[in-house]
Amino acid sequence: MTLDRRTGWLLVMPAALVTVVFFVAPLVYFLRFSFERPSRTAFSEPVFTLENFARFFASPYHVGALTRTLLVALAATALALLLALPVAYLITKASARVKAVLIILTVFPLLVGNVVRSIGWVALLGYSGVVNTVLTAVGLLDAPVELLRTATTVTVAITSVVLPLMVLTLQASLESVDPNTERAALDLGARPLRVFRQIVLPQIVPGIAAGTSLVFVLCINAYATPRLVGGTQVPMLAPVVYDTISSDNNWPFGASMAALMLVVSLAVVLLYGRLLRRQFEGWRVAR
Amino acid sequence: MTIPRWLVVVGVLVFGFMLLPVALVVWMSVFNSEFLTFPPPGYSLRWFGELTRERGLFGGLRLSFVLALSTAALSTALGLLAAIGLSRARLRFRGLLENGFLLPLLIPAIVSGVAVYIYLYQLSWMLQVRLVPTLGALLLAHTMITLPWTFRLVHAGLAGLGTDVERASLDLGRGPWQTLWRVTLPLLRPSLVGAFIFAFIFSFAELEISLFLISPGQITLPVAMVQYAEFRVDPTLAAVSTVQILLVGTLLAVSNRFIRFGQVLSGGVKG
Repeated sequence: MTLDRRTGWLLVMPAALVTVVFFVAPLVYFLRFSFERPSRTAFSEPVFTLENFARFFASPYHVGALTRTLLVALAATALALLLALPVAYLITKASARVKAVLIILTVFPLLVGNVVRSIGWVALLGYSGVVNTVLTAVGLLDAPVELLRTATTVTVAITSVVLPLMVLTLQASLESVDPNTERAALDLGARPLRVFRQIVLPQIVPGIAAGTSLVFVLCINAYATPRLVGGTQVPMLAPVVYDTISSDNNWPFGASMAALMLVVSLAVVLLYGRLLRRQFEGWRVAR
Repeated sequence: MTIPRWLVVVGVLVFGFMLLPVALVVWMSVFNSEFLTFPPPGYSLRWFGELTRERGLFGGLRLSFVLALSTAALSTALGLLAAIGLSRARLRFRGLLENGFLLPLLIPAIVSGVAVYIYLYQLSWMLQVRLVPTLGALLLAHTMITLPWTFRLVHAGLAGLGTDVERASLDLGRGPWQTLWRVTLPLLRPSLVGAFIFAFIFSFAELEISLFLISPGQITLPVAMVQYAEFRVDPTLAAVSTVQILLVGTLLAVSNRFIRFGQVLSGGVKG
């Protein structure tokens, strides 16, 4: 320790102040605000009511957006896990040089951002896009079909967007698996797939838990992909929240929807992490 | 152990799935047709030149560039100060502070966007000062969501340095500030460069928070791109996307010498 306490506090203070004023306070205020009532004359009516939430669950459109969001997120997360596992395993087993290249290839699309990648998906699936052009050219389609604006294509596009994160999380987890356990299983005559299922997979349960919950939350809160690929035909929560606040000007209702998204996200992370950890303990004892 | 061939095939396919949209956008940016037709009638770089005429996108490009630079500077500075304070002084509530700085990572960006917008609007109402939409609010919000990264990177860098060199410098008669300036900061340069680049990239690609905080005349690039893409996807949009792709690629290549992106990112991130 090279600094006294007072200097330490002085150094920490700016960041702490910004965090409290610009993050903690807005979150607290916004949660309270989600129970208020829209007003024509003032910012809002400072009451405490459950009307917003009641209205949400009474509206088929909004409940539909919620279930659709959850289903798409669930499917995209499962698909991402399925696709990321072999790739992460491949990266772990690659030589140092190849590994560095593969990690950069994974990080790159992630850093390019979800907007650019969503635009790429629109170009791919659009009416005069690559897929339609190719399918018509080879005669599989008589005329281009509408591929955008369906829940399936939104799911596929979201999967591609969140995939790099899943790969990185699983790869980090796989790196910590002791290769001797695999070697031992192979020496004892197990086939590679069985080694992966019975030796490697149980050891990376925490990584799977981290990756899936992280990606699930991102899917629930995705904005650009559902907006561009899904449009108004596939309403999902994040775009609906934005429209409620900026077009309909109903701030309390929008806030209550965002609060709902926050609660769902946090609940998933906490509950799911707990469940998997219990499962993980069971696995450990059994082996 | 040898890698089975089918695993390599699957790997190539999945990488294609991740990289295809990015590659497609770069390809489209050099089409010479005004609309998307595959394959294009020919190639040209003219859409890059015509970008300046596309006011929404070009304005967005400029604003996002300046905003990302300022965000990176402010976020790195705040992260550095906080990291030094927390790693070099014995503070109470240390765990709480460390976790507090990482908080924005746990909250979905769309929720943070709504929260900051409503809060600042209410404050403006109360104080009778316009706080949203202003560039200051945009800058502080971007700083906020990049702070977890800059703080974490610099904090890890400081932990890696250890305190021995600093102690040696103090024992040799330098004061704490001289030690900080002449010993700690120069040794910390790789982490600082990494933190700066990281904050820049994340701010540049940030969509959800900016969505609520922009004003009609001043729109960040990702928001401008979404608005444009809802209307149509054409080579001009691809050209501005390619500018972003090239920028990120260059920064990634530069920073790859300083930090390990894979390691930093796999510990929890949001897109």
